[in-house]
Amino acid sequence: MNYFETDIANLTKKIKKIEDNPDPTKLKSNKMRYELMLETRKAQLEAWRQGKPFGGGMGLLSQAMGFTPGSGFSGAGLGVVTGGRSQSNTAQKYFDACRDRGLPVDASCDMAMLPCGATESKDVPMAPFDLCDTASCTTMWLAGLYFMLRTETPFVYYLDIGFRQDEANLEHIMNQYSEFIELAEKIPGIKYDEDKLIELQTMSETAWGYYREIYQMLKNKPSPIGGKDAVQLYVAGSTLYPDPAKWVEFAKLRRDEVGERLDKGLAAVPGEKLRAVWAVTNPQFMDAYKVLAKWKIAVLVQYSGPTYRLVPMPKPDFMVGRELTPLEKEAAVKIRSLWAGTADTWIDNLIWTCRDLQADAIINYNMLGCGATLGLKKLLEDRAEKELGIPTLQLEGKQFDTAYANQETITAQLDDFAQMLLNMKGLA
Amino acid sequence: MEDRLKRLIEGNSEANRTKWALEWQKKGKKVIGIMDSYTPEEVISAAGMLPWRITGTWQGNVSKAIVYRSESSCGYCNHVLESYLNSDFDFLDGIIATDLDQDLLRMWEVMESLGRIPYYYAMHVPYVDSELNYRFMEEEIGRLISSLEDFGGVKITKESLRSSIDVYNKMRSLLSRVYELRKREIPPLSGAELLGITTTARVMPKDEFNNELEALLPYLEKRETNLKNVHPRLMISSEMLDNPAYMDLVEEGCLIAMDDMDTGSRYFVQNVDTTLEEPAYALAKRYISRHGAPRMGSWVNQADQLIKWVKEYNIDGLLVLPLTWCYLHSYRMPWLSPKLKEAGIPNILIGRDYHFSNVGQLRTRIGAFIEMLGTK
Repeated sequence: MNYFETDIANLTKKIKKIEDNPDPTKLKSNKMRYELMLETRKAQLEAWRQGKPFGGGMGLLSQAMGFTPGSGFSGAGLGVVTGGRSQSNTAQKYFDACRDRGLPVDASCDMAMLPCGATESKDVPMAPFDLCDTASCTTMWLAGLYFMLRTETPFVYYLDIGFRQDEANLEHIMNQYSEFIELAEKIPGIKYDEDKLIELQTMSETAWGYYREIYQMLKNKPSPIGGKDAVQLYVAGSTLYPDPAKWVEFAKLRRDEVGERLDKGLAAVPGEKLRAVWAVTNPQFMDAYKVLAKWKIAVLVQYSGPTYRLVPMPKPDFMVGRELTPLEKEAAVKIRSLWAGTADTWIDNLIWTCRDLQADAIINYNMLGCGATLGLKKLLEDRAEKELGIPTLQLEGKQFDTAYANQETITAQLDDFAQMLLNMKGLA
Repeated sequence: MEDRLKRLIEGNSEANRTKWALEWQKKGKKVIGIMDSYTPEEVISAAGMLPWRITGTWQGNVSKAIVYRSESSCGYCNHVLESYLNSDFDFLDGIIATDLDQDLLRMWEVMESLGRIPYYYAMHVPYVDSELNYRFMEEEIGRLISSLEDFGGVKITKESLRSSIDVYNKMRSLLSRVYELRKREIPPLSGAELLGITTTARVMPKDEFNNELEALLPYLEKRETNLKNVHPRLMISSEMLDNPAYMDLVEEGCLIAMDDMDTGSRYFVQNVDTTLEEPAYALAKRYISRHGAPRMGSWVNQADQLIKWVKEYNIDGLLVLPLTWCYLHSYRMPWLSPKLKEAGIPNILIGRDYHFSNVGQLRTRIGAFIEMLGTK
């Protein structure tokens, strides 16, 4: 089975499990989320069978130009990661495919490897067009370069993005977007439709608006959701659904459901004593949040590249006081990805988030191979201590690969940290 | 002349590398530390400041650095940070970095946050060779100019920039002439000696370096060496390889006839086009369009250049010797290696530490590759 077929099978099983034996402790809207993902995978599989053009790495521009999103380098990468929880075994297969090619799996970010492996395994379709950019990080850029050249993607636009969140960078991307659109429109059936982009952006902003309302609810003590339910708030929004209106509907339903939990006093972690922000990424081979939950510590947010969509952190200056054009809004998405910015940008916004949520601790997951974040761990820790008076646990590991740190190791470190934290606060 | 040559070769040794910088400062001028070959040194020189390439400690212990960084990350960054934390760079007036890769930028950000020296600056270098990117880098250079002017209380005019470009172009031409001599069956310099010269270029005032090299060229053209081996002929590809001990190790069994290194050929390859009207634009074009590091998107051109050099320098094999945690080469090599094999060029990637270590293991692996080349 290819990647989509595997995901369809897994998601179908999940949905059936919920229908047959709903777990009252889990959010009811999870079923709709799986249904959305299932529809997406079915649409992608059908598009692949019909030979429709996929376009990678373009965000909402994919659909605004007539591409099917979800393949090529960035699209497959995101798709694989968001579906990763349902495909941990598949991840190992993709890593092995990468190792066969000599790619640096063991020294690299898993997210950079998976799209390469998925394509090597012919589990995802090739995109005739890919937008390869540096918005994520150096590693993703390099993996993307390898991917484009290895697969001889017919049309590739390499989008250069600086590391500053400023007007100059915005203008730089906008200049390149003109070239990119001209190149993409060479593919039959592909045409940039600004009205379509505006429609998609409006729906996207509506959905994100509901997510941001949920974010505000997390500030309540105890928080009505936490752990995987809270973390997936930004992840779910990152996937491009074939029916964006349905995604808006889901976001509203989720908002209502979380609101209901709040009204009823239902807590993610009953008896919540402390709360934490989890940074960078997480070990997909375990539920690390449950480990903390047993100590009555709720993880409210996973702070990552796209977290700015969920958390109402201060906007960069270039966005203040003026209305961006539709294309500028897409350019701003690239710039605001926190991965490829400065350490200050990353830490400023993490501190802001922790302060806003009244977090008691940061769990900083130092992912092996993450050039974007490994070098700022001490800066982050020192500033968190100085500006918020909160400690940081420095974990090291990968997303799928347990060779570096396994469930037992991470659990032990989380347990020790939790105990220390509770003692520190006099809550042991 | 041999002693004069030796001084040039040993200019970046631990004992000597700060000599010119300290002399420069005695004249009341500033010294700016730089780390990669994408920082436009001409701009720094045009400000009357000395660009000085930072070499990290060659000792193995990086215990202070790994408080800030992962041990499982770029060795150059770890060793530079260790030196910084040991106050080895406290004499510098500033440090400028580019986003060559994020790890380097993050390391620079740690140094900036610790604030031991007066001035820090970071600039973006576009990844892609295109007109739009030349223009953007031209703007970046403009920002760097403004920053240096503010810091130094100086004015960097177009004329001073053009003069600086002329000096650097002369250096590039002189080093190109030296590298031409490597095409000989018995070159006048070993790979280790050449690395010594190119790294010395990075810590010496350029006028002085040019004068020395120009004076030495006639001697080099006639120099007889006692190279241990002249076959097989290898090309080395790496980043941040500044310790000649690695070159000596490789040359136990072969001759390093050419290199693809930021500390070697890539530092001086391709002059700035002085026919272009705007010097900042001309600089941008040169730095982006020249044969680049694997971080640049021009892998196809990079492969073509390597294949061209193999022919020009009569190379028997390519040894890629990156730092163990160097993403740049780790990602490019799986694509590059088959291309080179198609072109009939044996190649191998062997990781190394930044400081000279794991000698036995390296000797065995490199030796096996060299032996294989010898039996071809």
